[in-house]
Amino acid sequence: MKTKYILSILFACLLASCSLDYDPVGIYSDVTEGVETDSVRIAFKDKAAVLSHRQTLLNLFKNGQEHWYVDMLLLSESHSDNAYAGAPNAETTPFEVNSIEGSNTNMKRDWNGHMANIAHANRMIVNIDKVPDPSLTEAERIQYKAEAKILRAMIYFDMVRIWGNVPLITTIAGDITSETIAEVYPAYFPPQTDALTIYTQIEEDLLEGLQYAPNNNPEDKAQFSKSVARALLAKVYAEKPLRDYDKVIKYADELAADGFALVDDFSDLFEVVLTDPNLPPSQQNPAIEAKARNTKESIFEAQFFPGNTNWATWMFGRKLDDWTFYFTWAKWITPSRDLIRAFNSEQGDKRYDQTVVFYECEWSIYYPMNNYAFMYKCRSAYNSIIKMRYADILLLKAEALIQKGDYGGAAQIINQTRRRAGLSNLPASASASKESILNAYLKERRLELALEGQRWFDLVRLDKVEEVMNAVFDKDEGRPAQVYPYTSLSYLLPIPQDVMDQNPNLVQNPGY
Amino acid sequence: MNFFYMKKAKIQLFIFFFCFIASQTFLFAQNNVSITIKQNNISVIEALQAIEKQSKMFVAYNESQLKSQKNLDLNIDNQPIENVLTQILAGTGFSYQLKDNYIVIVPERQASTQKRITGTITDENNEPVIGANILEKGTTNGTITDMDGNFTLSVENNSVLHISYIGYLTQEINTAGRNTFNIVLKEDLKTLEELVVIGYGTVRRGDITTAVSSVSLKDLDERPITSAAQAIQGKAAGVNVYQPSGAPGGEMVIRVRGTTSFNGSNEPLYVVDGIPVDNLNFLSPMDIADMQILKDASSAAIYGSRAANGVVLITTKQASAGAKIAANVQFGTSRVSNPIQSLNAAQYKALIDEIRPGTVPEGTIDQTDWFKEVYGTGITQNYQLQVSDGNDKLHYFVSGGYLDEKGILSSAFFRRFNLRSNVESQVRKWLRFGLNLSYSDNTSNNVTTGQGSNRGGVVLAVVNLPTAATIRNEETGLYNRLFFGQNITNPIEEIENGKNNKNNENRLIASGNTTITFIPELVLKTSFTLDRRNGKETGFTPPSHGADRDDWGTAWDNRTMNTLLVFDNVLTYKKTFAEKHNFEGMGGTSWTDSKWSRSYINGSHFKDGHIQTLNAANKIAWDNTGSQASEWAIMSGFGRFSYNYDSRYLFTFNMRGDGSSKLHPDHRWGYFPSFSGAWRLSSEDFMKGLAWVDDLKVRGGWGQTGNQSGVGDYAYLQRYTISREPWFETGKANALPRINPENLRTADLTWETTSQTNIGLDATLLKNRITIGMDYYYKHTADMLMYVTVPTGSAEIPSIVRNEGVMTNRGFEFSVNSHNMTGAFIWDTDFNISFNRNNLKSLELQKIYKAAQTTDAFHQTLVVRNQPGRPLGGFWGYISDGVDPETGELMYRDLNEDGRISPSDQTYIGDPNPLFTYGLTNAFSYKGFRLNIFIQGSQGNDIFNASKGDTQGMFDLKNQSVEVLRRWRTPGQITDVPKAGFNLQPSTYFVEDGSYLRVKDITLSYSFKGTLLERAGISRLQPYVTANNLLTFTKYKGMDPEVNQWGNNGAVQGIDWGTYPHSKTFVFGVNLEF
Repeated sequence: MKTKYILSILFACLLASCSLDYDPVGIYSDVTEGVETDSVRIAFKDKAAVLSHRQTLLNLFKNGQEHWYVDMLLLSESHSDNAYAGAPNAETTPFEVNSIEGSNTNMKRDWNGHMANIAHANRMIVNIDKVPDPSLTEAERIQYKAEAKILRAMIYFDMVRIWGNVPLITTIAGDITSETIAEVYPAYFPPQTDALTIYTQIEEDLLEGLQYAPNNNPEDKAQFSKSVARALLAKVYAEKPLRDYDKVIKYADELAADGFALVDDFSDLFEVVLTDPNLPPSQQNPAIEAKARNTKESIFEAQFFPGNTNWATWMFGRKLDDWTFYFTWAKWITPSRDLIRAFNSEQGDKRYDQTVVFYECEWSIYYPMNNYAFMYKCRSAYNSIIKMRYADILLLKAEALIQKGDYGGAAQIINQTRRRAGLSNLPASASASKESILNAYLKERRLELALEGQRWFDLVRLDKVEEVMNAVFDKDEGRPAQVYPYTSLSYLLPIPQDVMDQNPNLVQNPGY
Repeated sequence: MNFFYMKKAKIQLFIFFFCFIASQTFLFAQNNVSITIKQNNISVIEALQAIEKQSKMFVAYNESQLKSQKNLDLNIDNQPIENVLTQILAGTGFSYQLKDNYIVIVPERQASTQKRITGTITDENNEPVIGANILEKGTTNGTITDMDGNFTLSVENNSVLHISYIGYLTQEINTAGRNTFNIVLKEDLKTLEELVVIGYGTVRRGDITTAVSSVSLKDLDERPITSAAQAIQGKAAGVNVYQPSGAPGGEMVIRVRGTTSFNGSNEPLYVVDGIPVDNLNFLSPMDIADMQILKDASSAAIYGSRAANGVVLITTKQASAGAKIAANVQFGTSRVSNPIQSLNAAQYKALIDEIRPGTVPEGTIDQTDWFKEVYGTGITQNYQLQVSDGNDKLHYFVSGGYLDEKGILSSAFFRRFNLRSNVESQVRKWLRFGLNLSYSDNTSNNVTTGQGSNRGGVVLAVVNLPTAATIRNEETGLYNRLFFGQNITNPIEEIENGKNNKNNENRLIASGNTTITFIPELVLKTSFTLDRRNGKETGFTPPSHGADRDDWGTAWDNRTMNTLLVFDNVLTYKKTFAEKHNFEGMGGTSWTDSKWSRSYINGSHFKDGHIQTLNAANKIAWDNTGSQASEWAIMSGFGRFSYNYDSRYLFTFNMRGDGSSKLHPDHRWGYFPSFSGAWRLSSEDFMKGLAWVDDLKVRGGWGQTGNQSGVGDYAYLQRYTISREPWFETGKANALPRINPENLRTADLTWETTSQTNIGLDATLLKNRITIGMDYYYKHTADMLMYVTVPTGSAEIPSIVRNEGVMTNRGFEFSVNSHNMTGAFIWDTDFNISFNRNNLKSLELQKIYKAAQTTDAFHQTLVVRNQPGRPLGGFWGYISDGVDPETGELMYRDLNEDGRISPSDQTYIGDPNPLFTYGLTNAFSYKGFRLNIFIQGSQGNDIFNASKGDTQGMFDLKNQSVEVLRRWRTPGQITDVPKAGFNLQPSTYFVEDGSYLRVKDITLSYSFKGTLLERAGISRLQPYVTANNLLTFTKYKGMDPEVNQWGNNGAVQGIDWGTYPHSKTFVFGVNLEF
């Protein structure tokens, strides 16, 4: 009897503890978020999930400072004549001396960063129509999808300009199981698409975004607004594959109609508020806020507030909010002598002081330690990182006018930014020929947008890479020796080796 | 009283009743008759009937009981009746009683009455054996010998004494007709009879059909061993143990027969007294009584789910009858064994002048010997005390200890308090109850190692710091951080700040078990275990302000609690039929439930360094403070059937089913069968002629085991990360957290399954002088659990845990234990050697995995590449063709001959997998002296010396090792070290032969013996000295060939990168018993 008794107790204990169904207690998962109807999984269970993801998309830029900002400066400034590789090492020096290989790990993180953002955007685009929550209105669905398309276009625009042929992904691949693996493999391991198709997709996304995205909000330039789409369209139509200068002019003009204009004081874009505004910045007089956000010139920017600041600033010079933080000569990029000479050739250019700053440091590498040049456009952790501003698009209009033969019109635009910088109008001779106006234009763009991630792409777009870059090594004595000469194959950068290893369907760009 | 006993009692009543009737009926007979029976194949009953006939006495017996007895061949010629009865009943379990004119056949135990016996037990040298166990066979009645080897015991008349003592052969002596015994114990050279603990049971060593390694613990208490894993190193064939870091309390890596899992755990399952645990940190090696390693699937499969990497079975010392107190005290000192020498100030200046001229001013002199400042003498103290006592009903064992290891880097330490007790009680004849309690409290701290000196790595900083610099800035009193413009971790500051950090874990394992014996053959064991761990990590970096810094002070406090419940039920039936048919059947269930929770606070901005708790922090990290929780469970059913005929033909079958909550509900149950067999050739007639073969057995087996560790608790679900929104920003006062996908879901996540085939041979030769074991195995791991990354872009988070690939391991292992010399001078040699070949067979999604980011000199280039068709861990990089005498550059080979050194010129440049590993122990003893020399090594493995990038890379202003004095300086110079500032890439320049032979331990001990000690009641007084890591023979030029910065990682091995080095240790200790 006893045996039975004992056994039945044991059995009961075992049965009582029988369940292996343990749902997560500390994390959200399929259990809390999953909606499955007719074996179709829905990514967003309700409107709140959509809004949460929309916020994720809006945060991408500020949370992706490496590939959206820091590396773009390396790529466009150190890889052009504007800057040196601030702290020479095997990852950054190749940009300066033109010896970038697929093994470069900055390239890899940029590729993966951009691609991950594409997937974030696609998740919204692909799933928003399936959200079963009726409180999510049709208008909201269309708007959020439009915003995500603008985002996707913005990312692909950077990628296609860096690498040319990249995989075009507009879907979210399905679950991987042993049954589905053959079916989903091509979606996870896609081949590249040619650049023209990518551009066409970008155009399509922007045109749709333009239709349904919200209007520009002068109080919040961190939104994917219609104006962001217009600015991007202007830039896209200036590029070779879809080049259409009428459209560049059209969208530049529409931006003006949206209320965009040059700020009167160039320093409004980059300046900070110091504890004591009457004293120069110092350890005792730190910055406490950005001078301005959401200026009328800013089209799209990442914003940072006290308590939730950008981290990238220390990569360039001093953080005016934390004077000694990682301050050494070794920085991510260091303004080049060639750039400084360009500024010095225009006496009184107010932009110079906003672009380059000199501090004393403990070492002499590119410059003597007692007067060492640093990038100054990002100077505190509260500074916004401006991805697109009106001056860029306005000048693009000048480029379009030049290409269309209206040199005078172009000169007028160039004079707008020159006058704001405290310079006089261009001499009449500048608009005498296409070559002279184009040179004046390129120089103006260089000075206006220096160290903002534009220079390399300007040279590529206008086929100036070989001419400018193969000459700069002789002109600029601070620059180390060139490894490979720039050729037509230099216009695209190598596909990262690790990405190629990961996805055997990718093909390396020629020349690498 | 249970059913089975009741039945027996009834039978006994019946017999007595029968006897009574019989005695009433037959009153005539004669006593002194002689019996003659000459007949083959006669049954016991027929024989008894013959006696009845010839003696004219009445024989009373229970026919049903005697019916099943074996038939006899009798050749009895005119023998007294007693002798005949003894002969007929021998081995039947029955005895007889002669009374007047009737004979009653009764079960044996009824036959006799108690008597008192005395005896002396000595060894072959006529020395008394103290503390030997004397047990009346089949009972719990027993005692132990005293100081002089004497014992007294009351036993049943014809009982058999079972005499055992560790290290000696067990004897059984019949007490019939004798009351005093002089027993000589023979040293145990033959181990086939000992019981070996296997999963949920025991088996005679001789009857093992699978690959089981027993770890010899003979000299364990004479070695300065602080963790159980150290005891295994080099002692078991097929088990590769190494210590990837020399840090105090440094965890050991144990690999049983190679790497089976890419990302899943490769740790074996540890089972301590039947309780699965994840590590052995809590266990003092002194408490270990027995350690077995189940290597092949057929032995491990009974632990199914978690046994793919083998099982380490540990039995702790148990209570025994007889009072005993044992103590072991150790004191040791250690020094860093193989320092790297840096350039002096003048040499440093000369070097830097080649990299950045003018940086180091003229006339700088040596100011600081960083090596001296940073490395100290490590001190280890270890005190262990054990008490046990008991009687035949109740006994207990209590042990406690304190271990304090202070590292050669002074802020690193490991401290452990351990307390363990077990109590066993025979509550009823059929019910045994046991309670095991174990509590340990570990506190440790480490320093940052395995990092470049620009990122806190102390080991490399010692080399990289210019001797021309000072520790502190004389003016400000602050620690220097910039040295001639180069940012280098100041190790003194790092150690000073790190002093405040502590990791503490206290762990209680409480386990109650009952053993119910229904009938002697049928036993149910039930145990319930609570395993609770509380972890607490705290740390504090003080604020420091100066011209070049504003550190505001940071602190953290992380606490975890982990509660594991294990409920096991095992029913065993063991029976021998007709002497030679041995059956065992076992069935059981097991249930494990885990609950884990964690809370963490991070904060910064402290007023000063006085108060380090987080109430004194002004900023609590808004996005890094919170709590978490998680749960999992495993449920299992298992069974074993084994049969052997006369220990000659042996067969075992195991089956286990496991369900895990971590796997997808549709795929969470896995079934793991195994079978094995053995044939003892030495029992066959055709082997009888070979006198030099004592025992020879061949074994073979196949089985499957599973693995699911290493995957997260809810791995099959798509999970979401939680990101906090900054509520303090304008307009975000009521913001809610955002969630984002964390992984791709795996709708078919299931068990990783390893199938293993094993063929083995065990032999004992030359009158038990030599024992040989060898095994060949082939392991095939399918559905290998992997953290797979797919290309980014198609899913937000490109990572998925899935059953992705196939990996194989095959190998051969051989061990020999030899008693070279016996007698007064004893020399024993144990040797084992293991060969393993690993191959990553196939992967489904991503085919190339790179890993191991090391020195900044390589700029995040990963140096390990894994891909199908290759063994794990291959090093990847360029082939370097030495230094170009003209330019001083290190030349790299342009493999694809495109005129450009680019990634397509990279290839495999090294293999960290050894050809073989081995261990050799020689023990000599003579008159109380004992010398033990343990050598251990690895052959044919490569090491990637990433430290060399930091100590000989010459790419910035860090100081370098004296090796760079050979650097290229003038055109035409032929040297092996390139010029300062050479183009530094991961290449064969950094790959070295990592083979080594290490004299791991040399121990000399002496056992005092004598009347003085005896009078003081001391049974053992044994002082000893040990030298640890005394000598290492290797071509490897780094600090230590045994280290691996990636520790217990399946995919990365053999990388030395500023790893905490091993040290040379000298230990003095005493073992005391009374």
